[in-house]
Amino acid sequence: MSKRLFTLVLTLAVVVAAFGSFPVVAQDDCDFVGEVVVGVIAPLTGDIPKVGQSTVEAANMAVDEINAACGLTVDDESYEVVIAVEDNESKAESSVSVATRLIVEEEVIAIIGPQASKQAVPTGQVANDRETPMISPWSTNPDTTFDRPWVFRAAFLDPFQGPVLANFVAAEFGATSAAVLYDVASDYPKGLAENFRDAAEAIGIEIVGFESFTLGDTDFSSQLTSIIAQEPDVLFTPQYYNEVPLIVQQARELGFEGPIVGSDSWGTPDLIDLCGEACEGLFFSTHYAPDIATEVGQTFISAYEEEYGAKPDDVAALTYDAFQLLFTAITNANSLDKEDVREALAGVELFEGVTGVMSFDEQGDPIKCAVIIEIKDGAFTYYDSACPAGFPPE
Amino acid sequence: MEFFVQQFVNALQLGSLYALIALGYTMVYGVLLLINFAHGDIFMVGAFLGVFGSITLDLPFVPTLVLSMVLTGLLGVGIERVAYKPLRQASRLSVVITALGVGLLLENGMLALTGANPRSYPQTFITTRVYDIGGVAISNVKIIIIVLAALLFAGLYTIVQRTKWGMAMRAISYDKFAVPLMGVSQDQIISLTFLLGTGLAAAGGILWGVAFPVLNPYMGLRVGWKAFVAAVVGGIGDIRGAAAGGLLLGFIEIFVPAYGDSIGISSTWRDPIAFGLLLIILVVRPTGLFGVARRQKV
Amino acid sequence: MSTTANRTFSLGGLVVLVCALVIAIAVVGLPWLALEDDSTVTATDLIADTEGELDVPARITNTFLVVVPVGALAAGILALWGMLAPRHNRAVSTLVLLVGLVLVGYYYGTFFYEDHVNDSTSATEFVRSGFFVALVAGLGLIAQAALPRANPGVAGNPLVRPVPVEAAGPVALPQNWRWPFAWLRARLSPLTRRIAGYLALSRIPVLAYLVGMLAATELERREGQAFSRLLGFRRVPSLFGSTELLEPFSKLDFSGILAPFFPSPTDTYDAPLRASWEALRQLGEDFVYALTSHGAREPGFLKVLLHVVEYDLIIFIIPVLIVALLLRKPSNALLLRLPSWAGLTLQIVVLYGVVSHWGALNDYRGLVLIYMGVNIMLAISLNLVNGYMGEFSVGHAGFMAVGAYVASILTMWLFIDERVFGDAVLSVPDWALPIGFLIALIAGGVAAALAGLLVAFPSFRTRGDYLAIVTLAVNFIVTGVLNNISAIGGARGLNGVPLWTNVRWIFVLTILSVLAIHHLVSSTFGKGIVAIREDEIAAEQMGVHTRRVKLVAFLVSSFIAGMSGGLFAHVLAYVNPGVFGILKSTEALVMVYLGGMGSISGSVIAAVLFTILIEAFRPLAVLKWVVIPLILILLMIYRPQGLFGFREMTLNLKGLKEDGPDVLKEASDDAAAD
Repeated sequence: MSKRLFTLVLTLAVVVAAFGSFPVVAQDDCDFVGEVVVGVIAPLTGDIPKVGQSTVEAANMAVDEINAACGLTVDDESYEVVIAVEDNESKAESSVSVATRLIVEEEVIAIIGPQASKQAVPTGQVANDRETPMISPWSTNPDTTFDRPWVFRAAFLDPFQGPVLANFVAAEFGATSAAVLYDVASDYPKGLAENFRDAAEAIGIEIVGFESFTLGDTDFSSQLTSIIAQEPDVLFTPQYYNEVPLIVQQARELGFEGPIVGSDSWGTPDLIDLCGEACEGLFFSTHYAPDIATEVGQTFISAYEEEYGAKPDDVAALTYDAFQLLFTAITNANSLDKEDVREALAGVELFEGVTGVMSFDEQGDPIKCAVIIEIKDGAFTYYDSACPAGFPPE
Repeated sequence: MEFFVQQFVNALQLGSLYALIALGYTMVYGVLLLINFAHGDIFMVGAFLGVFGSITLDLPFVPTLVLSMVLTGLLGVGIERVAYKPLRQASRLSVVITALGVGLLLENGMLALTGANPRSYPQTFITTRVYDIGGVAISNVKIIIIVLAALLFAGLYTIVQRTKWGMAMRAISYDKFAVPLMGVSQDQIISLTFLLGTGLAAAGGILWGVAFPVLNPYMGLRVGWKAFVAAVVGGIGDIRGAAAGGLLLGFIEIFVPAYGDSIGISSTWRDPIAFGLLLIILVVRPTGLFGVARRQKV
Repeated sequence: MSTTANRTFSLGGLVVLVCALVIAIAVVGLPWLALEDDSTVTATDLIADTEGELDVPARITNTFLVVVPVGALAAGILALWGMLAPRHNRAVSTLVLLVGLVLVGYYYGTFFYEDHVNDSTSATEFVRSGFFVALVAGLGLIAQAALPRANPGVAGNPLVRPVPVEAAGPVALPQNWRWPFAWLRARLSPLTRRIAGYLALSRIPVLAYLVGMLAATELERREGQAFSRLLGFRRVPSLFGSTELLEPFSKLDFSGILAPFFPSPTDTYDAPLRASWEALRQLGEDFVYALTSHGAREPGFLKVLLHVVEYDLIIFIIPVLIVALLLRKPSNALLLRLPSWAGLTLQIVVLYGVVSHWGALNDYRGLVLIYMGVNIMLAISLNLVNGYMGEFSVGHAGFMAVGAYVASILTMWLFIDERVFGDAVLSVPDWALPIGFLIALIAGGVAAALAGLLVAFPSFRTRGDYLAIVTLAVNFIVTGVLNNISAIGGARGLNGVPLWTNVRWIFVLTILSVLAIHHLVSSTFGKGIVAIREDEIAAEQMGVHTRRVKLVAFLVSSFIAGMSGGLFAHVLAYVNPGVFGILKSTEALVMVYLGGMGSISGSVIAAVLFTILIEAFRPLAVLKWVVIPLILILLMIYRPQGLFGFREMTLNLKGLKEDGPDVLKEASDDAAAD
């Protein structure tokens, strides 16, 4: 026994000794004087792992880029940007706990995320209470930023997108009746469905079907049969890209021939691969059009494709923009104080990102244009754009 | 009328799928008295193996189906050997919790090992054709699903009722202490049960993937719970019950939103109403539709 | 006796060997530091360098940080062990003790010369703390050495069961596939039994441990910051270092291994096998790096592990043990004199001290504590139904949802101004708000209990797996209904719930729930609950009013679940039906069966462990929910009854007489039971 223990201790000692011989890691050329830690909260597991994956990919890209350009410059000194990524498992309580951890333990300067409103709303409370700037790239629930000076977002809100789409179906298809199919248990589809309904009714489109299903369903035949029986001119379905192919295919199978229109949650290239022919010729509104993107956008798209072998989705683009917003704010503030960063964020004017030009309103919500995309020849093609009144100023 | 027939066909498709998955639940339960909570995730693995067969190996539909059923069946047997067998003497609920763990392991392991991109079968796997029969749209996919589910059910029923193996299975489920004394190998029968049950789950998975071609590692989660509900409502342990329960669940899920509107209930209330109905069924018939009250012994 | 002789030799020899080795390695052989010009310095150079002539970089390599403390700790532990050797070997133990003290002192002393702790005040404080630790450790060791101890070699001492020679004999060849565990158990159990026998750790009352923990948390408050920076942590490890431990593995990507075989429509792979192999190889490289990397920036797992162990030993384990050992006699005596309610109250008060003191470090710890409390309440309430009554409820989160919503609606509607319900209906002075909160929580619990009736009534006829479906259905119905009530936000959730839950609330309510359930199940009425589990028909025959018993069990269970939901809502400041889905119910199930059915202490421990595990495994991201089920499966296979199936942890809550035949018998029985 003693011999064995002795051997064990000796082995341990040797292992430990081996540690000592490594040299200290060399610094690169940039002469960083310190680190700026940015927290990222992403749903890597749970309902929407793909969203989490895109978030992390975009975040890594944004950070690698800025560090390649010698990081953030504050007071003429360069700081390396480091991200602390946390998984929130698509759960509200986990999101609250990781946000607290990021703020208290990692001492992050700001938090990017969470993406889904279900987590972004409670997490925004944490960030606001602990006075840390937070940008949710993707959340569309007004509550996320409402009355929370520290919380911002990169996506436009349902009350803007709903009318854009309603006006679009009226103008494009001359629709007089429409049906809506949405997920009642998810925040985003439900909010947008209701906004669309209200906007459509306001401009005289009759909503003949307002059908719902529950998160995780894959069979929509009952609701679609009911909808088709009402013969609407157009079907609106603000669902995620992984549900849209099912809805579109089932609707076609059941004999619906009218146009199907969607929202920014469609904007993932996977949609085309999953949906195939069935989605050809459909329209949806989103933040940017890959084919007419600005220079910033083109650079981002090609860099992303090179790095990850796939086109960026809307989550990646918005997350990337959220990072750029933060970097711009830190540079403008020329300070690493959270309060200064917050003020600079609130003061961002006409920021030019991948998803277009944007400014923040007093709630921390972006004012930006929406574009209408047509799915044509297996690609997202620019069709039209719609901007809030008086934006962008000439 | 067309509306009703259309909804009826819709319900038949969904119900057949639920029934297929519920069959596996109920078989394992019948023999081992084990609620195999991993069943939904085995179903997912079956669907993913369909991707492996159809894309990576470039096989047509039927070979893919067979390949997936065999591989998944073997996986089921393996799971039983590694995770459940050591617990055969333990309390029933520790096995159930183990099953829950196996399910979580499968779905998250799949996510970790294959990434988060959703999968789908190639367009050429089964080319969808839609037939319009008197205003009712019926696709070939629906027909294939309903027919195949019925065939598989009939085959299983024959195996269980008409073959020696089936007799052994029923015997084990009747008395697992006396039957091994008669020279029936309990281990073999249990393995066979798992092979059949998980093979059916794989078939369900592939048919599901054909009908709803977006596959992700969590797809088995809700479907698994629903099939469990179906199996229990039908009377768990009885394969006719599983088929009936699956169809019943399918019909409730389709017809509640279909006719709810006309009596003033929005389709948003589907889940509470569907589960409320199931609750009532269980209160009226405490052992499900086909279930027989087991002798009370603990 | 041959056993004893054999063991004394091994102990003494081992101790001397290890100490000699550690000191030799420490002082002579190793390059301590890598300087920026890649030259290295040894410890002797460093000690000689009192003028600071060497160009020592701010970040020193970990050799220094690892070998000396580990050596000191090894010596300290061995000293403790050595002292336990029989009387004639005391010279060795004294020697070891001295060596240990010297090493501990050396460890802290050397850092005095090191520019590691930047500003001078914290440096002084740090050195003071180093000597403080050394002093406490030394005093404890001396005190322990001075105490008369049991000698297993002396015939007629029943306190310790003599260890049979075979138990420590040559390694048996692996007999079956469980051999690593069997081997470990065969090695460890004589060891643990011996240590437990000598120290009689189980005879130390909980009170003494609690005071020890209080001392440890105070030590951490004073010295944790400096000490953790010394070890290379950026800040005090919040959860005993568990969250830091797995951080090195956070960058591992497993997704390439099987992805080539299951291509998504977006990807194409020409050679899946090669792509998969490539991913596997890359993963292997990353894994080795994550394991052994050693830079200050991304320390590898081994390095972090050593530091974490070190931190926990020095800050927590050793102080707790020392204080507990010192206080064993007085606290036993005190507890024996106090009436049992007073003893219990005293222990609860000290426990509160520990919890609040520990949780006061930062908000993250506080939040974890609150989650722990919520999980404890959830687990014990579910255990009442699933463990004690033997039903299989799988929809417990439904009751939590009812409680959460009702409590939140009440507090928002009645007491605060917000957007959903407008201004507060009642104008309550600030001091009375806690009362309002309590009422809201109770109302939430009552509402949940009413929802519990939905399960309780069917349970009269429906049993087993059929009842499981009823509970599942209730869970789905509750969340489905909540999704549909747009007045309270529907799927959007209810935002603006006041942040009222804090550690104090959670502590009080958790303790009350635990006591209530304990009381319930140990009462005559509670025996009825257990009787239903064992055999419902027989219970009915024996005069148990099964319907009433079931009704009460479901009501109590869902009441407590509802309360926990209310508390949960008031810490998230937000409720959403999706939070209380089937996943939450599954978590509750996992906690109950992890801890063991029919065991309150099991559920409590499982809830605490589960909460910490969830946080600790967070860096693993996707892998987290692979590892947790794996642990669950392994636990179930090797310990199907859970940690404490159908029994409670034996806690010395009421004090034990130090001497006397009854106590000795109990102790030897304990040892035999192991």
